[in-house]
Amino acid sequence: MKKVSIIAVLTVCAMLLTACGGTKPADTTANTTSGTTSTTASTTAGESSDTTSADGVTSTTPAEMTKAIMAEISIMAAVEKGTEGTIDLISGLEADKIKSASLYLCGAGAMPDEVAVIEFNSTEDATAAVSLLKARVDELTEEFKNYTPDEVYKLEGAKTGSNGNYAYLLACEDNDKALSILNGMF
Amino acid sequence: MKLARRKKANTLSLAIVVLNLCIIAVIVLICILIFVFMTKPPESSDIPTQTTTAATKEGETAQTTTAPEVTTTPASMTKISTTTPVPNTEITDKTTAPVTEASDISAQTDENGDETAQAVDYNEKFFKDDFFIGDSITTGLYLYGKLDESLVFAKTGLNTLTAQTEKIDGKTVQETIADAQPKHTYIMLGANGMAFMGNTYMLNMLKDLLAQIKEAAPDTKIVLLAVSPVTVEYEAANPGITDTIKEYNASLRAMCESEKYTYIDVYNLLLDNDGHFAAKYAEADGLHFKGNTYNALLAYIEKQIG
Repeated sequence: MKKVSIIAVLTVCAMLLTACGGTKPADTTANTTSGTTSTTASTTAGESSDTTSADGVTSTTPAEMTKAIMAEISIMAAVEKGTEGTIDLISGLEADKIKSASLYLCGAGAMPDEVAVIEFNSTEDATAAVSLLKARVDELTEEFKNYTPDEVYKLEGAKTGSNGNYAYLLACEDNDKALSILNGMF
Repeated sequence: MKLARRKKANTLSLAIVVLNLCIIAVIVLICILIFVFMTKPPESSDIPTQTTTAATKEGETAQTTTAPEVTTTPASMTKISTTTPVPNTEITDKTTAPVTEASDISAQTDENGDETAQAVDYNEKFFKDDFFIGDSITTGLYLYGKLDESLVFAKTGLNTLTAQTEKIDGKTVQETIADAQPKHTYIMLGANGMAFMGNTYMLNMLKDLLAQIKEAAPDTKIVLLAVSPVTVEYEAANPGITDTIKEYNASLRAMCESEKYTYIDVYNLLLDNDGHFAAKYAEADGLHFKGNTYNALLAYIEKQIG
């Protein structure tokens, strides 16, 4: 009986040690990051570039993609929009053609930054949507060119394109970096 | 003798067993307590990112024909009190008691280490038949998911002149309001144009805009929100802007009194003790609002109008 009780005590002690190692629940909610206003103009200039490739195979969701980009890129008062919010914001998107979407933008309305990834049901739909994303960039440019002209470089160097079933809009402080991160996930 | 010794040994063994069982019970209890405190409470979707889920338009539009009143409601000065850092909970906990005074809103530190106002509660349904017109600051109402986008006509850079002709989703504000027939129409314009339009011109353009609104929705109650303040840093970069804002707000208030519109003093609501845009409300650029600032704004409007 003594041996049994000693063994029981030791077992419970072992259980106690393992219970101390708690794990943080996976963060599936949107991030809010508050960065500082970019006051230095980037040397990146030129038209927004469209790229289309047909080999976009990935199991990563748009939310995971934008989150990965946002881990390296800063947007002031960043707010994430899910599928419905993205469809509301970008004119012309059709809900029945979209599997899921994620878009980060400045929630305060102060900056033109937008980072969006949309997964469509087909490659054709993704390719067709690129023109809508480009129109979105033009709309933002028109809106911000007289409001915060120092920030318009983000739109002038914006990246829009598609990769398989995914279409993207990248207008932020470092569009090349954002595109590199995104392409790395395919 | 042997029997006595044996009895004594058995008693001792029993005592040891009982003691061990007690120890086990204590350890199990500690395990349970650790498990309970290690487990986080389930998080609701923290960020109001789904604009279409933020508000519901229920029921029919309620029309009232009571005469509009002029009410001037200067807000009490807010006090900033720093609390221990807590995660930024932008989605308001619906069990939080509604804030009744601006000074009740304390500051807290969000997950990025920035000072932000406590996310106070407001009744989203209170605004379901209303309409907001404004500039980039007002876009935050739907970008932060505080109100449904359909209740907001706002665009970056909008001023009292351009608001009359700009289109959003293919419609001017007059066309949009004609369709909506809102119970209250809240207008917060003036931050743009102040530097180059002049207060008199801005007010005259505002009167033209109001005339268009009243023509489109004769029963809507006009509510004019004061232009919000700027931080000391913004003022330093734009000397004289605070005086200009104050002068415009004074003219706005006077116009409301003569035209029988409701005036809401958003300016004083958002001030710190030094007379500038409070850090807990102001975004990094010193002009725009943080997410929780919209909670304070809507809660304050609800209190004044309700």
